Amino acid sequence: MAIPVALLREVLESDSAAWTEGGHRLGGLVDWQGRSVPVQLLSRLPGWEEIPECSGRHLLVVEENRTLHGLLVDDIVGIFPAEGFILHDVPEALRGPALLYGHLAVLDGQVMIVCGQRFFAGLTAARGAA
Amino acid sequence: MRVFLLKAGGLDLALEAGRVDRVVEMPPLFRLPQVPEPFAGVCLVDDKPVAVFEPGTPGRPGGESGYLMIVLSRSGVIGLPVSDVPTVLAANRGEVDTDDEPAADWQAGWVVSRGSRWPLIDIDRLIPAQCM
Repeated sequence: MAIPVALLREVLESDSAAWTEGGHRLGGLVDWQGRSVPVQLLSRLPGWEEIPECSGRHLLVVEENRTLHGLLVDDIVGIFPAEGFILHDVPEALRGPALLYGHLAVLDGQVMIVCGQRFFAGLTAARGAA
Repeated sequence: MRVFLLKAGGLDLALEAGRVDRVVEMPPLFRLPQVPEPFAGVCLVDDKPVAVFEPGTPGRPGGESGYLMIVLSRSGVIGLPVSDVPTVLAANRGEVDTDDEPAADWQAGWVVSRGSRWPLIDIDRLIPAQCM
């Protein structure tokens, strides 16, 4: 997964985050700078059930359209300049209105899902539907 | 009419040669969430992501897929994993004339050659309607 740095507010060790509900294995709520941030597990999103179980070692706090999101991830691979990636639209045959991502990033022969505004807006919608 | 004869999901199949861009050794498959069935994700072909059917489509899921057929469809370029090196031959296209073996919904007809017949894939019928 690739997340635009412009959306990233902080990276935390998830077990040291101020959990007010749930935890790094379950997701839940974290207090971050006095604001309550909902944290979701990717594997609980519709259509994402088959992704490998996440250790949830790190918690990314992301802000999209003035809404904070918490995202549990295994590791941070690094921060890369945009010119290091080749960005591609998701192939036409795979697109659909429910798809939470529209672009794929290719770096060193690896494919990553670009989690941009559309992805985090989808998280908000998924929470609303839950 | 020229067709590729291929094997996918344990099925012997035929595909119009004009729909095939090329055949490459199976690149690594990157599985993606939320993609419509029967797609599995993408493979990189010339560093570009190509939508790839779940190995075994339209037969049994899984199985060995040593090659990827790059196929032109109405939804763009598609990768079809196949298990054997496809063979190209000239063949006659026939009609299903008995009801003892009904055509599958992804099938456009039959290819008859050398005393055998192969189901002819209609690649566009394999793609879910929401992708069109």
